Formats: sequence, C-alpha cells, structure tokens
Amino acid sequence: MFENLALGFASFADPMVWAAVFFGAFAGYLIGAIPGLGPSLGIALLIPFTYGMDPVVSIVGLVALYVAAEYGGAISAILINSPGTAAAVATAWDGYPLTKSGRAGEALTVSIVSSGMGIVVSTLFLVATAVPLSEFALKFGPGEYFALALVGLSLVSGLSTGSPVKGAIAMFIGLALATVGLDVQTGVPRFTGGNPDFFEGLPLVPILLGLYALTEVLVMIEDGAAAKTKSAPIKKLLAVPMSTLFGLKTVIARSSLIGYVIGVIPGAGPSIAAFLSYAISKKMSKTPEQFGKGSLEGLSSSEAANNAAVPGSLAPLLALGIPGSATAAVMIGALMVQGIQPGPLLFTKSPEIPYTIFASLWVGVPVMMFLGLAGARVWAKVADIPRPAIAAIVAGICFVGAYASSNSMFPVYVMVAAGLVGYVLRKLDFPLAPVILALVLGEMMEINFRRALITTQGDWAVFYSSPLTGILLAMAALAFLLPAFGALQGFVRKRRAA
Amino acid sequence: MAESKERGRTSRLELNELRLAMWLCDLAGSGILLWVFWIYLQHANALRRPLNAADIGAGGFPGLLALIAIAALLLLLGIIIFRHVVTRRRASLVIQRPLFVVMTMALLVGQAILFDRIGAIVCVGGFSLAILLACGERRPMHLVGVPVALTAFIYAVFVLALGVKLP
Repeated sequence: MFENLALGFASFADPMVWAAVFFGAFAGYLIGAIPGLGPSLGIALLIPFTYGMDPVVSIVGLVALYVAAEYGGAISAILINSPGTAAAVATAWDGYPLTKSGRAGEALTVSIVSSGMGIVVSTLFLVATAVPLSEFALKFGPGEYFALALVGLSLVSGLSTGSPVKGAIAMFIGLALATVGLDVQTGVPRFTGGNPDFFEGLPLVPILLGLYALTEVLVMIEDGAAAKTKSAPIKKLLAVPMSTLFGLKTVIARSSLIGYVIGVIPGAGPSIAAFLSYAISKKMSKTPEQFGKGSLEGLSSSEAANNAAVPGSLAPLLALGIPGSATAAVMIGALMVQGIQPGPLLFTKSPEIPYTIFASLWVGVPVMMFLGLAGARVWAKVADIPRPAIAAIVAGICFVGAYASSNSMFPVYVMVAAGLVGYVLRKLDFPLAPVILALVLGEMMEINFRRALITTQGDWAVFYSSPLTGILLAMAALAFLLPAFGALQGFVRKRRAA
Repeated sequence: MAESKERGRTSRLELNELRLAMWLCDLAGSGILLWVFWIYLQHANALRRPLNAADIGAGGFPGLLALIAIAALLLLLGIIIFRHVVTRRRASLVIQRPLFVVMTMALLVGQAILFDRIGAIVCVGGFSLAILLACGERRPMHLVGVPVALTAFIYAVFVLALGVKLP
C-alpha cells in the first residue's frame, strides 16, 4: 500500500498536476460559492475541458473541484445566509449569525480549517478501507454485482427528496436510456430507430450537461435578473487564535468519522452527514444553547462532516465501481471519458489512478485552504455575479462542450433534449440524480443480470440462494418500502388529526 | 385610480407566473411516461429471441424493466387520484416568467439547429446575448461584455488550448 501511495504522490512531480489542483480548486470555489450551482454541475461543466488531457492531470483537477465546490457552498451560507450547496444549510445556521455579529472572518477561517481537517481525516479512512473493500469485491459473482448495483440505485432513488415512487420511476427512466444502442452481448440494435448515431448508446457527458446545466439555465431564467444577493464585508480574517482552532479538535475528529461513514452509504451524502453531525455535536456540547446563534462548534461540525463525506463517497466508487451519489455518478462519467473503469480491478490494473486520487485529496487541502483564505473576499463577491450572466456562460460552455465531446452535432441534440426533458421532470418533482445513476450503472446491471442467469442455466434462484445477494436485494426493496411506509404513516396520522 | 392600479398589478403578476394544478400536471406527466414505457415494451418484445435458451436475450431486460416501470406508473397514477379525491390538496406547479422560459427553450433548440450552420463562435455569442435578454438583463455593458468575454474564453480554451475544431 505504501509503495502505491508513493506512486500517487510521485504524480505531483509533474507541474501540470499542480496546475490542475489549483485550477480545479479555483473552479470549485467559483461554482460552490454561487447559490444553486453545486459540485455535480461543476464537474459536468469541467469535463469538456479535460478532453485530450492526461488522465491523471484531469482526475486530480476534478477531485480538487469536487472538494472545493463542496466547501465553496459554505462561503455564501456564512456571508449571505444563502447556502451554495444543500450540504451547507447547517453551516448557515451558525455561520450567518457570526457574520451578523461582525465575525465573518472568524467564521470563514473556522469553516475552512474544519473542512480541510475533515478531508484529511476522512481520506485516512478511505485509504484504510478502499483496498480491503476492492479485494472483497473481487470475490463477487454476477448475481452479487447486479444486487449491489441495484442497492446503490435503490438507496439513491428511495432516499431522494419527494415521493419514493417518483424516485423509482426516475431510476427506470435512466435504466431505459442505458439500454439504447447495440446490445453488448448479441450486437442487436435496440431502440435506435435505425439511426446509427444511437448504436454506441446515448453519450453520457451531453446528458450530464443537459440534465444538470441546461435545466439550471432554465431555472435561472425563471428567477430572472431580480434574483440578487449582496455579500457582507469581511473583517478580521485569520484573526482566529490557534487555541480556538485546537479546541475544536474533538468536534472535527468526530464529525469527520460521521462524514466518512455517511459518505460511504449510497444515497446519503454530504447534506445528511452535516445534519447528523450537527445534531450529535449539539447533544454532546457543553454549550448547546449557543447552537444556531453563532456557535463555532456547530459551524465546525457541519463543515468537517460535509467535506469528510466527499472521500467517503469515493470509497464505493473506486472500490466497487458503484457511485453513491449524483456527484459521484458524474465523477464516474468523467473517469469513463478518460477510459478509466472504476471498480475492484482498478486497484490491481492501474493502481496509480486511485492512489493519485488519495494523494490529491491530501495535497489539495493546503491548496484549498490557501485559495479559500486568500481569496475569501473574491469568493464572497462571486455570489453577487448576476444570474443572467451565469445562465449565458453555462449555456455557451454546454453547447461547445457537448460538440467537443465527439466533434459532431449528435451530442448537442442529445444535450438539448436532456435539458428540456430534465426541466419538465424537475418541475414535476422527479429527482434527476437517479436518472444519471441508472444511466451510468444500467449497462453493468444488465450484463451481470444476464450473466447470472446464463451461468445458472436460467435458474432465477441465483438471486436469492446466495446469502449476500439475498441481503442486498432485501436492502434494495427496503430502500423503497421504508420511505413509502413512512409517507403512508404520515398521511394516516394527518387524516386522524383532521 | 387605486382599483386600476391594483388591476394592473394583478395582470402583470399573471404574466409573470403560470400556476397549474399539480395533480393535473402529475396526471399528464405520468400518462405520457406510461405511453413511452408502453411503446418501449412493444419494441423490447419485438427484439430477436436469444439463440441460447438460458439467456433472456436483447429484449429480456428492457421488457422486464418496462413492466416494472408501468406497474410503478400505474401506482403513481393511483396515488395522484387518491390524494386528489381524499385529501383535496390544492398544490400548484408554478412556473415563473413562463413566456421567457418557453422563449429560452426555443432559443436552445434554435442554437442546436444553427450551431454548425452559422458557426460555433457566432452562435454562442449571439445566443448568449439572447439568453441574457431572456433572463432580464438590460444593462448595455453586460449585454455587450458577457457575450464578447464568453466567446473569447471559448475560443482561447477550446480552439487554441485544446485544439478542438469547432464548426
């Protein structure tokens, strides 16, 4: 393991890798600081810039963007009470009261340090668990793989906001889209309408751009130019005594562990990690009454946990090839563009890739902290960028990015169609994350499903005879049934009360 | 006078906001998806049967998927109707600035059609100006500056740095 880690750190001998870290972190802050834009959209928009780049350079840049965008959400949460990402909602509870009392600089410093430490600690857990997880996954048969992918999908769909039935339907839409193109096993064209453009399947990057970026453009059009924010002045940046930061060590360590564990679970992710960690820290605090009124402990717990969830979400992605969140699904798309297939074989075939990611998470922290603190005033102003300008820029990059993905117009048409359909789905409260996840996992699921049946001569018992497959499929079913049961219970309770 | 002012405000609000009954939109959306999955099922069933008896073939997985999706959509339709009849909930689907949203959708489709005909750089510049206007931007400096800066950025990064041959 240490040899491979050294291999990962050795990648940083290339100045281009450093440039990628700086550029990724810069772009991440830019995206994260703008309320409404998040890491998924940021990575989707950055993918076109990585065409033709060295895989290591591009991956390091994307990881830096992922981490910085997750932190960037805290800036607007602290300064203007408008969380840039869902994971920064709990950050605003204490960050904004600190800003109102003239302690914005202190709040920013504590949040940046907590985020950085969260990533450092969580990456330690990632390094310790990802390799054993990938070795364990090497023993999986096709039945287990199918069940595992279904669990990941079901958790994301079942736990997504809104109706679990709509989450399931969104998942089926994604799976159906994944079946378009030539059948991998028989070579039969499916759902192509005879158009050869569809033979290779629907291109992932344009769909990502359409679903995440173009839908956001249409939402910005709805808001219009009236949607304005105004950041507060920052005073006393870096004026936080070391003793204050040192006093938060227990909160940071505990929140990092919570963040990592929650990050590993598909469908959970940074926002749940932040809320859970905030609640636990409040319960364990000596001054719980300060929470929500400008508590540094509250701010630190939320930030350490939501950033620690990022390395957590990379564990199933790298070790099993199963993305546990929408952002991880976009990340898988970015890796696929570079010809990298995440999964257990990645650690044996191309160890330099996962270990460079581990190294970049550590190396990226000081860069992220430097950029965050040095540019705090700039990031605060980023939230003030007029929405019409952002909409025009995002749309322009989408069109050129989609075209550049294969130097043809087909991806552009796919992107526009995905954007329009995505907007309608979003308005009807269908979550978009399961569509992307299912699109990414669809082919792997179908291949393993059919392979499992072929190896057992068509015996469907393969899906419940193995204890692991049975447990995983039961978990997948529970992921839908439990939220549905909860909704039914709530409905009955409301009816009784009325 | 005050009454006419009030009326004016209401009509402006009506233009700025489109409210539709959520249950009707849900019904329409689910109905369309049901139709799409029905067609998908027909296509899946029409795919060639597998030569290997143990394999479910090219249409097996999509067929199974379509059946489950249709069942889920029927369940959703049932839930929508049940909720409407029993709870009489009056939730609305709200679209702010609907005319501009539709206009932007048309702009995106138009940009896709014209992208390779009039050239990427001209297209991005022109359509970014149109999107700025649709989004409510009226400041001349922004209307000129953003498209110029964006096209310059795209040219520098994609054409000069990445070597992409844009139409």
